[in-house]
Amino acid sequence: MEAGTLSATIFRFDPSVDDAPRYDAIEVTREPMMRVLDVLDAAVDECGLSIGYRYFCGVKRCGMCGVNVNGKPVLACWEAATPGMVIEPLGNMPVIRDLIVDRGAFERATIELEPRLVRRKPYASFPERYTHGDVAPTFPLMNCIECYVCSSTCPAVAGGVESEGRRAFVGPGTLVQVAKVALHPKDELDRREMLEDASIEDCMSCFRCEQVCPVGIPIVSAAIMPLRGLAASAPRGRARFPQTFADNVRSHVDVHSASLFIRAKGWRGALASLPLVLRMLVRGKTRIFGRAGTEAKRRVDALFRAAGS
Amino acid sequence: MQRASPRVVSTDVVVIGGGCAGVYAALKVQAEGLAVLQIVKGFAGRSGASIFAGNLQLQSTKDPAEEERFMAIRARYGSSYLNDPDYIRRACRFTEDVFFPEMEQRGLYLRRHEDGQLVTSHDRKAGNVWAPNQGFSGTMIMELLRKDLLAHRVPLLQETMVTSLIVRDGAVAGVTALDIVRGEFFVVRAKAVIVATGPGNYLATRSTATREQCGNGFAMAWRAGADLQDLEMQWFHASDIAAPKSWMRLHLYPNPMPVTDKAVQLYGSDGGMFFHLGMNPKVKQPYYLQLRYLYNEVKKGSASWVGGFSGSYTHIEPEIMENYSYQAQFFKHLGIDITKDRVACGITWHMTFGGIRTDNRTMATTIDGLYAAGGCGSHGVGSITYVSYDGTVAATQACERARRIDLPPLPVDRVEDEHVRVHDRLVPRKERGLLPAQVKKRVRAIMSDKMGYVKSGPRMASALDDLADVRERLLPAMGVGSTSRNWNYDWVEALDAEDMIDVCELTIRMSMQRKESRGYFFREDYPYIDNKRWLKHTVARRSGDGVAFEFTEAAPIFRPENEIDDFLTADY
Repeated sequence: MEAGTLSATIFRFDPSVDDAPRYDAIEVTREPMMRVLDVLDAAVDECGLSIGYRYFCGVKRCGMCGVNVNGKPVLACWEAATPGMVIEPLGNMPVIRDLIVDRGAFERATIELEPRLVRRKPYASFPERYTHGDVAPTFPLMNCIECYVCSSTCPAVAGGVESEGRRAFVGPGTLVQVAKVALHPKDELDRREMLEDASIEDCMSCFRCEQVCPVGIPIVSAAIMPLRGLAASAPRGRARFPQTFADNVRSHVDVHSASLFIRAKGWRGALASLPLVLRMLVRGKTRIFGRAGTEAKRRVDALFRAAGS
Repeated sequence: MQRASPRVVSTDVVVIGGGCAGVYAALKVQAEGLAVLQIVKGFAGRSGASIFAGNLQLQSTKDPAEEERFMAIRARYGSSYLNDPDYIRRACRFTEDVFFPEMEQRGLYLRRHEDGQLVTSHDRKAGNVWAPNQGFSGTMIMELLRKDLLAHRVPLLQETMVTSLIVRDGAVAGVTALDIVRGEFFVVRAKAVIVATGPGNYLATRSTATREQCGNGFAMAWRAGADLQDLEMQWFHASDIAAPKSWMRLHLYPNPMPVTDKAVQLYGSDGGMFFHLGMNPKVKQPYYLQLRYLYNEVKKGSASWVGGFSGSYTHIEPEIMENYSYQAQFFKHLGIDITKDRVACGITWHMTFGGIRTDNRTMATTIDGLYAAGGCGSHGVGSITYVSYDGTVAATQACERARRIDLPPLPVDRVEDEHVRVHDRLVPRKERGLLPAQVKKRVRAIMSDKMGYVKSGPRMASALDDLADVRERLLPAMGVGSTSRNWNYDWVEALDAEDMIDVCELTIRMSMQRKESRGYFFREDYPYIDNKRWLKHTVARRSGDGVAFEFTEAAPIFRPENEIDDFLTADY
């Protein structure tokens, strides 16, 4: 590589004419503090490549320039360009052309979950009376620009947001949008059932979304956990499952499937599944009593305390 | 070549653009019970100028004396006496009575103190508020409006470029458009059309406009026969970040930071401070003054029009930046410590004060049934709050028309001509031909070089020659990298290139007409404000294939004291 230049590899694919994706190697003039987006602009202007990439603002407002760089999802306008980087489209979304993906599934999921304030009491007058403290829980979420960089890398949505029958997990980006209104002091919509339908319990709290959020939103702690708390009291109680599972491990050291089954499905659900439970007992897949010792229980309990739950 | 006839759809009102004016217009038409189709080149609420609104003006209109004082300030310092104060008054009242209450009901969080008071600047008189931080207000407003649009199921076509306005017998009959994702050209018949394509146009190398804003609104209105006005009144920013390139739209605000009376200070390459807010305490938004001081600095040799000067926030408490500025994270990300370091700045082509000539009471243009709302109108808006008024007024008028008339018949020849024009742009580049994006870059370079802040007759004439060369030499060989119809942005940019050249030429020709300097418009060969001859709007009208110019008096409500003022020392 020449001094003063920067090389990169760019994913190219036009499904309407190409049989398979390919990669173009480019070399462009290095500029001060160059961003990934500057490299894409230069690839067009200097190398004459007609690459499909989306952006509008260049400064983290439009949220439309998400790409994967060396496998990490980023905003092209925000991420520093590095020599030899590989630029590819975001994951969990179909490719329209080159680096452009179809965000439709996530956007539809967001709008279907009523991401707007729903007031029951009449609005008095401007400016409304409340303090900064009143909006503190929702404040960190206000900078979300709906770039869906988080959702593109979420393992819980890997199967797609719109699988048949039950709606699959909607992804962290959508939940930030929902939490922003659900935690607003003036919102009065009961959102519990909607959250159950969004399969909020599928979040594994792996924190991958927080690690990649280009605006630094604490997605799990400030959006998903509070929403899960809300949804836990929903009629079907599905959102309780992560807590039920954690409690199960905490008190039994190992997963104790019989009691987990009863806790998660209720006595009636467990009775309906009695033949399955009996088969599991016979084959030794589960047991009636746990077998962990007191010392093991103490140590696991300490771990849970250390993890803050 | 035989082409299939394009698909034709019908509606009552077409809205072009997805910023605040366009969304307000579309919501209003739908609320009136009429059919609307909103067409956005980018994405509603995600592209265009509105997402950049950094400060929100909240002006109390309840005290007549206070309102009058504001109008006088706005006329002098906000428009160099070209605004119509009556329009500003109506827009301000709408802002206070309708826009802010509606946005707050939608969930807009105007930043508050712990006691519930709105955060303003230090003296609580500048009238700026923020949602929730300086630099992010427009993004938050547009996010809420986009949700409303989608929740109300307003018919919306995104990533769709309107290529022309279809006019028949002096009245609008619809639009033609290109669906960028599928590569389909189609026709929309309508009784009224509202253009809301914004004030910003990416017509120079460094611009605050978004990627897709290429003067298309002006170009299509002009080709359809509408009058344009004051295109020479192009605003610039002196304090946008110099690098990285893609951050050229990152603004260091010249008006006070929240809870302070302090704003960015500018320094020359010799280390001396050449601009701060205290130099002209009456001027709270001293964007145009920064540029005049920068001119002196360039003359001195301690700055240049491509950089070499810097801005600083070192006099502002770091916790204020941290708490109230969306921009602060950007400096940190680059490793700039804004408590100590200065930020290299550059000059940027900002909004156009002029645009499609409108009656600011109705937003009607000179074509029946065509309305222009917001920044693409000619009344010098420059505020996301005011354009909600424009959108509402335009929609009300468009609905009134749509109820009154039948769907006009399509002029088939016009549609076919446009179909051919658009189709012919999907052609591979010739040998040594450029991609459309490369041609656009050359047009922008010409404008930066010869139509920057400092203008003169000879430089402008030379810019016209350069543009003519692009038109004659580069356009015929220009072509797309692939003729695929699947999200082919080369195709869009080929149409952009033609629009940009048209609009740049008009801007230059209108600039050559105005023989004075005013506001942001600086002619080195006429370095004085000529209130005797030039309290006027420049109007461009189509005359055959050429242009005829006319000059109309600016609204005479407030007037400057002097007939002539020295441009470089005047404060307006």
